[in-house]
Amino acid sequence: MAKARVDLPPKGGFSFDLCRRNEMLTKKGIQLPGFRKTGTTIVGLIFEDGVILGADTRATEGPIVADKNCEKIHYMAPNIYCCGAGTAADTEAVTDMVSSQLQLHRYATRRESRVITALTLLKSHLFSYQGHVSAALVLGGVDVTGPHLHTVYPHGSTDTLPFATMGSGSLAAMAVFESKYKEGLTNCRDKCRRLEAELQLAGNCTSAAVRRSPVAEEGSREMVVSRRKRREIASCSSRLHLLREFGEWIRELAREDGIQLVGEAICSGIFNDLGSGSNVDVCVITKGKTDYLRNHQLPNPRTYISSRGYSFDRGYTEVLSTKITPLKLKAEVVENDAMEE
Amino acid sequence: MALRGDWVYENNGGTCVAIAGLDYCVVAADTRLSVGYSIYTRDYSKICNLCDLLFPADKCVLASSGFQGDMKALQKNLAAKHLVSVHLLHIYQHQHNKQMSCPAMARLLSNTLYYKRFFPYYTFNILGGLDNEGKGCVYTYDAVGSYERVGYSCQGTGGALIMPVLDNQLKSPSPLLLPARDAVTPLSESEAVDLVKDVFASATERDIYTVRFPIFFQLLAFCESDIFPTQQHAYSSRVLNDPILK
Amino acid sequence: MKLDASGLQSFAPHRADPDNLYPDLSAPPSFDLPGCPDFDGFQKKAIQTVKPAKGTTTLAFIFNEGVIVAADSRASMGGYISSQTVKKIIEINPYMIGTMAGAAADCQFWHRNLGIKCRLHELANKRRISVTGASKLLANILYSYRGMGLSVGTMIAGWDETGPALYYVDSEGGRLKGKRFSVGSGSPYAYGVLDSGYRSDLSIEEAAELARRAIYHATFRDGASGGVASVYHVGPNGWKKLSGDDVGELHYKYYPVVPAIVEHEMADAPPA
Repeated sequence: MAKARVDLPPKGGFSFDLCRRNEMLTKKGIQLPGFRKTGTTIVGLIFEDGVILGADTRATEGPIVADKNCEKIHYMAPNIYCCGAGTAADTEAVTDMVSSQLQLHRYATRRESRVITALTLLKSHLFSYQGHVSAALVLGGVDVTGPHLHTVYPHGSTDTLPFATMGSGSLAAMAVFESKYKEGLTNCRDKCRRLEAELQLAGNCTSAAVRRSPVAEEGSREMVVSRRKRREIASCSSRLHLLREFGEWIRELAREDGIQLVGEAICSGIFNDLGSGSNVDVCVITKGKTDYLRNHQLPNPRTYISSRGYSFDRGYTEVLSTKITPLKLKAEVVENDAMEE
Repeated sequence: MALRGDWVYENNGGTCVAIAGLDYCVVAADTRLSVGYSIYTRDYSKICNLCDLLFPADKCVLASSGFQGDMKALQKNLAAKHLVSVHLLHIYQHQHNKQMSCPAMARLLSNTLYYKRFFPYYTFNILGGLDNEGKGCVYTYDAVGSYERVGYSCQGTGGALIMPVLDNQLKSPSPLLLPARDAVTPLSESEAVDLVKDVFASATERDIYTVRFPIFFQLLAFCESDIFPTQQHAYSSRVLNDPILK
Repeated sequence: MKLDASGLQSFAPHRADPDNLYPDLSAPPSFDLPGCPDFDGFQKKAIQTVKPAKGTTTLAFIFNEGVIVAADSRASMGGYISSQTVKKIIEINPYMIGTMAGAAADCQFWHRNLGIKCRLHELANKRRISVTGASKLLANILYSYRGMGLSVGTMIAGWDETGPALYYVDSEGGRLKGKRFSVGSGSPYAYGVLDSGYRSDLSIEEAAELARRAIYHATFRDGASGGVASVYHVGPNGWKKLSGDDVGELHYKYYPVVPAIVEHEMADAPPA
């Protein structure tokens, strides 16, 4: 029964006595040093062939914004990323640690990491620290078994969801997802499927077939297909080529819709939750490809800059004494054959 | 009056700034009320013309931040005292044959705050207006009524961020210096308004409780010529409709 | 609990108000108390929440030529300097001044109140109130509020029929007559300078310089004191402000910067 877990770090030296002591000190009115918290909105959703993660970029220390443009979407593996909310140091440390464990695991197995592996490593670490590592995460990635999205709570419990939000802005973001997720993505996907099916039925694919197809007409209206695009599709020489082109176009649509929805959800957090703010980061993970769209949206530009500007004449700071110490550089030739590779 | 719970205060955030000039006074405040990470409203005026219902041509306005409940109670208290004294009992006007001046109102506010010394109004106030000679004046307060006449001031959650900038731009020699040195805010009215807009835009960047987007704040400028309410309000709405600020 | 609100009574003649439409407003003012069971706990927490302005160095001493009173001008709320221009020497009447240490609001309000009472005494008795009497008025009021969290440490200095007088009054109910006092967070530093330089036969200029130097040294070591060092003198003809100096400028006056010649130093970079 007692089986040593070799691939985990040695058992922790985390003393819960200190937590109890700190609690006692706080009760007595002693202020503990403030941690940099990421009062945060982080979200994720699954779309047709991948996962889209999103995050705001504000880090706060109490009521003060400590960093206006921090990164909250952390790298785990080439095909897995993780958004972090909670204490900034904790989310960074825990994702870094798991990330290196995944790398080692990839070296050992020579296979792409799986999202479930990352999830298990994260939750077992967090559980063993009983919530004292305050990291709330949205983990997303695409592996051999398809796209996956999970949320991880500081105490180690996890959820598996088609769309997820975390952090202080999670309610604001979830409001957007709940009202738009289905309509925005599935509907579009359904329509594209029907369109694709009809095209396949049409068999001989000519420009006329595409033009006459009532669904294509409808789809083109709804999805704002440019004429050029339709001509392009219509002028495809072979059916195979056409289908491939068309499939890519549909995927592109789903992807764009997904990114837009994630952007909206993050903006909802940015505008309605005081802990979240600044810009929108998005990360799109699809099979074999990851796009990290840093500062995808910048919804909070500087509102006003004084037209006069501020200038200061020389001499505002009094010079009390001056001492110039020029450094005389001494060139030294070092025999460095030992360093030669 | 009995308290149910132990504790009755919360901080609704917000920032107020006032600058006094030679013949004007600019008073500005953001308009958001919030608690914790949530927003109550984006459109609440923290500036109160103490008796705008019946007698709006008063020479001073009160800007407060802190706990909205206390803010409202304090404003109503002061406005009522002012109304009672000016309109109904005519005490003040009968005795002095004039409406209450800004320095008089400043003293009244100090006493009103101090009467709640053991159960303070959780409000941080600035009183801005024109003094008896028509010069701009700003009075700044702590929560229990200690007050001081200054050239400029700011209060609220963004106060500690804005104050150093105002000090840098506006600081004049201390009035306590002897031999005295000339102490006049060297800005024109439009420059003062410009500075106020700039400090608010800056505070917004780093203080989560000062309005982020859209920016709303009110400016009330008093000039010796336009003490009439229409002009005051016209000015405030002009700023509110400023396309850059919206 | 009963509070002595006699200090608050309005002295303005009240017009008869037959309908008494506004009983709350026409009644003499009184202190509002929180209706919670734990008054002390509430006070402690409220003071922590609203952080009233405080922090000070003040001093006063009697010498042959009268009384010297001096103070800094800084007010702080926790770690934040809320003002560098506080007037901590309060002019009660032309022959008497008070100093302010502790909570700014308490000092300002009760000094204002004392000023009113002194004036009324003068009108009623056709002679100025003695410093002894004025300080006792204040001490009695403060004593009646004992234990309620007032924070006042004040010195009443003046010239009356008996000559120069100096009293120390605090919110705990203490009232001391003396020759030399310093009050506030910077007082240990001020006492150091004051005690070592004090003689009763100082000239006015020397005494003012001693007071100024004591305040400067206190502001140098005490973070809660700073701003402008004001010095007042009270003599037989009333008080007079002698000086007000920015302590930053005083520093360079006491420790002038020697205009150093630009120092050129040739040094070899240490070998790696």
